[in-house]
Amino acid sequence: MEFVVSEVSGVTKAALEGRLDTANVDRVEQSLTASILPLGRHTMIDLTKVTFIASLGIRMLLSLARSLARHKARLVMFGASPHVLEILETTALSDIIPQYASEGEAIAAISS
Amino acid sequence: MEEHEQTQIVTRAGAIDLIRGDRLHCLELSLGEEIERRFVVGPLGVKIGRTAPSDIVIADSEISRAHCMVALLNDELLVSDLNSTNGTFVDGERVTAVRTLPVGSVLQVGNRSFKHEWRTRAEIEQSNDFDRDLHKAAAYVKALLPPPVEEGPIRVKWFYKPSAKLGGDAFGYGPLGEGKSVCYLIDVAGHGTGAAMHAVAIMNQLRQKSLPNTDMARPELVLSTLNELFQMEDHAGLYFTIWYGVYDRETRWLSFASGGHHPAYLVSADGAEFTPLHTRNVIIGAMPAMPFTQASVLVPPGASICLFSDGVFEIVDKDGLQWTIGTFIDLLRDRDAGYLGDPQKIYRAIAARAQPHTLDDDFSFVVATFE
Repeated sequence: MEFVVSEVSGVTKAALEGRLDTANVDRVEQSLTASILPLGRHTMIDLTKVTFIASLGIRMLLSLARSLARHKARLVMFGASPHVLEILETTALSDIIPQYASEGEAIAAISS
Repeated sequence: MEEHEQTQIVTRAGAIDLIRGDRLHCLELSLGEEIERRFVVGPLGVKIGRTAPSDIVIADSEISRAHCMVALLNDELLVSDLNSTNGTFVDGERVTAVRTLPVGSVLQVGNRSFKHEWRTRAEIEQSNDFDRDLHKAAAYVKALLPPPVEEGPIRVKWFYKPSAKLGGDAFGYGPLGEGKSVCYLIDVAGHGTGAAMHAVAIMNQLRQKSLPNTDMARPELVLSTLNELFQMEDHAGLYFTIWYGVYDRETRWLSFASGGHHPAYLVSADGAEFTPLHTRNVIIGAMPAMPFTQASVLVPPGASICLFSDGVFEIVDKDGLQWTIGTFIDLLRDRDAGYLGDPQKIYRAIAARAQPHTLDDDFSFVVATFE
């Protein structure tokens, strides 16, 4: 699991790559959170290259969303593959962290 | 007993003062009858196989009698395959000649995998204490699980196997009063004693069949109350998923709700039809004041419901395929295999197909059959 944090139109973009399974969450959660939270901006998670999300991955995203909310910033996701989308739908995570098909839609939603 | 004796041999080798510095090379077994076992590799090396005189003896039909050798040379571990039938693998690559086993890499033999860790004696002692705590927690969770029901209008069988790090699975079932019966399964996101104890706290609420101002026969109200009681910010960041169903024995209607949980399945008496039972509700504890919905289904005579945790199907198989719940249901459709009559068979089938390091969550499978 790797991630790259950048800025797009004033929004923090975190592009994740690989399996968000238990072992990888243990490995990246602290550094991912430390890369995003101090920026204090609305954030979008790019799931385009994520192949799997385990329950601990869901927990990581939920914790991130809650932490950002304390900074009055929102978290959204985009680009989930059909398999990852199935996991997100089963958990109804998108009721809490909105999910969009593309980066453009995510930016438009988060900036509105 | 045989394995215990062989473990002693390895430990004795480690006890000879031929270890560089304060660190010991360990092979840590993360799948087996024990929650976790650690073998210290001394200068004499260790032979892994299915029978004595191997140093590490593992009863696995996929492992040859003398399968592979792990040697310690210049403070490195070296692996060689001993012409095993199914091969020896390091991080997924087949061992064809003597090769190193770097710290952090995974050695796979048959259906078992060992991680190479380089640990201080203090770490090992601390880890042993932690393992003992995990054992106690696993035993505590298991003690809360109801026994199988072999006779009566609803027969229940199950198989539960905690993962190496102990997850947060738990389940229960039984009469609810007024001709109704309840069945539920929870899965706390996380590992270790914290997740297990959180599961115990939730189970204790459900086992009392009483939640504040809540009709326990209405699944959506049960989930709503649990959501308010177990907000993750108040519980060390832990959330859980749940499937909760209430069956009316007179009308044969099953009311159910899932909170962040994948579907349970209603299986017809002939095992041909699998109907998913799912309502789209958020994870329990993720956000307060969320709405919860329920649904109902008529249960035909002889039908069963299958209820399971995600540890049952979230594996990567030996062909590298990431399984989905659909892949798992396809496996259950094999009526000749008789999986629904013997849940332990399902575990064996999954363990035989999974890359061992991906079978890393609690495995809970419950099947209830209605007369």
